[in-house]
Amino acid sequence: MSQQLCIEPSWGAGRTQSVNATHPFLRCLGALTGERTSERLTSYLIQASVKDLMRVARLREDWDRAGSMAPRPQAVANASARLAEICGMAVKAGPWIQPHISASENGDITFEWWNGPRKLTLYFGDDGVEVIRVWGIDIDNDMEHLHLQSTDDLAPLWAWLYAD
Amino acid sequence: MPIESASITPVSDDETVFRAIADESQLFAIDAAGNLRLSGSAFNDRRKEPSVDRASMVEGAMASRKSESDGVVCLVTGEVRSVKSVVTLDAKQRPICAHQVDIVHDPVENNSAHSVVRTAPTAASESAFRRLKEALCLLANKAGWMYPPASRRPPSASLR
Repeated sequence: MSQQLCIEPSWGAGRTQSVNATHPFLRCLGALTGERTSERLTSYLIQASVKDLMRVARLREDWDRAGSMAPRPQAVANASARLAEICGMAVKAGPWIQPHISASENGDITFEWWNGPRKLTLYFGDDGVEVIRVWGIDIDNDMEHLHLQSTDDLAPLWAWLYAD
Repeated sequence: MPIESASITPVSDDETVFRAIADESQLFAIDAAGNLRLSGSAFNDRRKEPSVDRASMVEGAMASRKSESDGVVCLVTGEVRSVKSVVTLDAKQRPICAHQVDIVHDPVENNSAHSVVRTAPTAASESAFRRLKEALCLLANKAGWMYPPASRRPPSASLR
């Protein structure tokens, strides 16, 4: 059964759609087949994001016609290295939503997720990850800037983003 | 070519400004309900002064495009100014400097409408600028596209 993951699931994997990894079938599959399947599942879920990240990695200087630097290879590597971990964290908490992947003027990689008025943006520098949490327009009172120490720190933010 | 200071005029609160957005999928998304979701990258600027054009000084949103494929969004000056302060925090999250957000007329060669979103008295810190970009996105998302980028235009519009 673990060989069946290449079958396109009927619940969709569109670019802006969520992939609900808490689907009962996937839970059973994980319980039956263990860690290796979990890794394969994560690898499957992040396929589109990996492609998006590679597309961003190929952007050149001034790609946005605002004079931005080309994405730095170290920042791309940092984001790439953490993508599976972030997906794994999301799968434990609920749905995996593919991030909107872009780059800042300094060549940092950004992952963005929206849910109604709530938004999370991750900035991947050469090593660390910073987070901007947004729930309104007031820069001082409706936004928060955090330094992510580990992917585990993202779990409560993810829960906040997708809370009812 | 130097721009004479006499040609620089104040931008009033009720003035609309346009921001050209390159037709790059990294700069915007459309949510399931069809609403525009600008990426923070749509206001990228290495000098931390995103460029805009005064609507009253250009002939429609299309005139603000730098390329035929660009889309255009708008901001209302008073709303941008109402962001009021962008507080820069130190490493321990203590406020060390508050910036006022403004839109300032900054004409350049070949574009007398050119203006910039600027923080005073100094440029915002990295963190403050990232939050400012989020605020600008929220303001621009409200009105949606003034003119959509080529990839979002109906087939007939792309023949222009």
